[in-house]
Amino acid sequence: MRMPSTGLTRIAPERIATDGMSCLDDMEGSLAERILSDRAERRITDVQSVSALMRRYDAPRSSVLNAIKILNSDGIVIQQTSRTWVFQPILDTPNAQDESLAFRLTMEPQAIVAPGFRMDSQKIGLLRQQMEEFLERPDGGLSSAAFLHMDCAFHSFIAESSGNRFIRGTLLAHQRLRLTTQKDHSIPDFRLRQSLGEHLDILDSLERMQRQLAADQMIVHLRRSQIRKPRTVNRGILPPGRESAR
Amino acid sequence: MTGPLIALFPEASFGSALNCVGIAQQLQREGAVPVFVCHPGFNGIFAEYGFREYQLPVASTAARQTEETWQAFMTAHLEHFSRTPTAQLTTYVAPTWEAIVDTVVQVEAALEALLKRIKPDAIVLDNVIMFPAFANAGVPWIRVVSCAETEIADPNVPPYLSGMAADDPGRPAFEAAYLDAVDAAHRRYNVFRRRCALAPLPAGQFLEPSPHLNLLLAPRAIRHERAQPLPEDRFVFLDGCIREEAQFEPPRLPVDDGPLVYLSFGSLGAIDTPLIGRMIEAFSTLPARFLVNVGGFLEHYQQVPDNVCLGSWFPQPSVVAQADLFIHHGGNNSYCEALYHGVPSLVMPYCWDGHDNGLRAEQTGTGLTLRRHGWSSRQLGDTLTMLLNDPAMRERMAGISARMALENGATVAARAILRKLDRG
Repeated sequence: MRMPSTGLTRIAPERIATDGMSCLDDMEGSLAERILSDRAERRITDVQSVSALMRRYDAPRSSVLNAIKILNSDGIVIQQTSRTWVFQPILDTPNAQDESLAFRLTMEPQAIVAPGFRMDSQKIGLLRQQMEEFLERPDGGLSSAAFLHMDCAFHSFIAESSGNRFIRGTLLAHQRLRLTTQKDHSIPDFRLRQSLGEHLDILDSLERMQRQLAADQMIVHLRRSQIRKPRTVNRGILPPGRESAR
Repeated sequence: MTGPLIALFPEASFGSALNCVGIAQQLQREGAVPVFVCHPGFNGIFAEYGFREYQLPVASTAARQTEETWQAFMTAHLEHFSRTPTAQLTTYVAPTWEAIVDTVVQVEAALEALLKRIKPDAIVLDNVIMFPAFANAGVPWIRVVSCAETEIADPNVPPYLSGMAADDPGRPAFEAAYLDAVDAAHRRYNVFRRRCALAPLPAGQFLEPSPHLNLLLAPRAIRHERAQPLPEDRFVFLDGCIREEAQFEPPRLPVDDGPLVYLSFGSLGAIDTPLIGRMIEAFSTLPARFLVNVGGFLEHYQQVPDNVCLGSWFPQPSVVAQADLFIHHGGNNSYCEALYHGVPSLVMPYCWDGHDNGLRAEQTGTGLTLRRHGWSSRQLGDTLTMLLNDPAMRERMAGISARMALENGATVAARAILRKLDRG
């Protein structure tokens, strides 16, 4: 049985999820957000100069440098030469998302079982309330974008509760990257609900101090999230050798 | 007590798979228990909609190779997709039938064992060929024709895969060429059928109509007037089987003005990255917003224009509902979704029933066609402009959409299946 949520102030999913996660939180519509969005949408290449960005966004040098500083602090760009900046890998393709999930499958259960795991009980209540309210929405009223925010918040919460400082830092940075760059997060309603149910089950186990069980549940949760759409499909199954048939 | 267990087996294409999801969602609402038998590569797709899955039993090496080998197969065939339907008979259609027959032979024994384990009360087969294990399962089987209506022949219906009108003078020659091209696969398939205690099928036919129930995904607006009407007790026409999908929020684009155009070439089309690349280049000059489904090939694209958004997957029904125009390959599922939402189609056919639906879109005033190759940016732009600014077509589409919404094909399908079971 799930534990009841605490009576806490209502906060929109989009807010709770991003609170404090990234410098980009308060940058909606800012130049940094536009640059990152354009990179995630493959409008700009992975190597950019300040002058090229000034031209594209018709922005003064100081604004571009400020935007780059924000992106750099989130680990999204690093300086290559005095004039050029390089975008780090982001979650913009199915392959990148596969690799992200494989990485998380290794790290997130470890975040839970590492000694010193400690959760903020008020934050648990907020997360729980948020997810339960989302689950109450009718089919068709569940937004994948709002889900992504909530999902990143949940997994960031697990990361920040970890007793291992390196796992904590690495996973928090990765969740920031997911939140800001993950594309193609359109998920059927059934899976959205199932996924939130899995989050709640993990929180239940953690609150009962059953961390090993929670870590196992995290593995199941991430494996279920690994489903990817086939790239090329056609009628029939092609037996080996048939591809040369012309 | 639970409702009847219904095993759905869509072929390995998104159109068919998602069409069956629409029917399964409705079957579930009506109290049945739908489960899916799925091709390798589709594992998990149906589970994401909440349905139990059983994998089509194939050798593990074949399962591993499926995606890569199909990509190689499709890449090898890309050049054929710009040819005429007649020219494709020997270059694409015949090898594809060979592969389909191979599949049937390969999975038969394991499929028979799987069905004994599932113990379905009925089977829904949305495919282009009969797997003998289904016919021999001892339960009613329902055929879903989710390709174009041309799959069920009639003198007034154009020949299957031809892209020609029913009264086209070239019809006899095409039909003869079709039979000739598929003859080897067909003979091999009939030998296999006999071995499985099934009667052989007439030349060119790989799947018989079900003696129980046949569901044709052919909305009234595009249906053909048949010379020999299909018996109503066994043939039910559907006005779309639109599944429920997650709500789609169109992304904000740097250039965010103008009508919304959605492009998706279906299961096969995303592999044609040169064509999609050319189209994206042309889109950059047009005053509209474009959502482009590039499947698993996002990494092939750079410097995407400011009025274009690429994605490897879109919740199509929800996107089409918000679009002003749908560019697709003429896959029946895509075409029916466009009709259902009252959105005009620009059909750029590759192969198979895409040719038939392309012609039908023009004949019924529900869209236009454009050949995949040989178009100029200007021609593409003019065609899109024409489709986006045709008030008569828009009014016609709105009427079609309203009628289809009232008829609700998925509900009709689910109830027809359950009625058939009630009667035994």
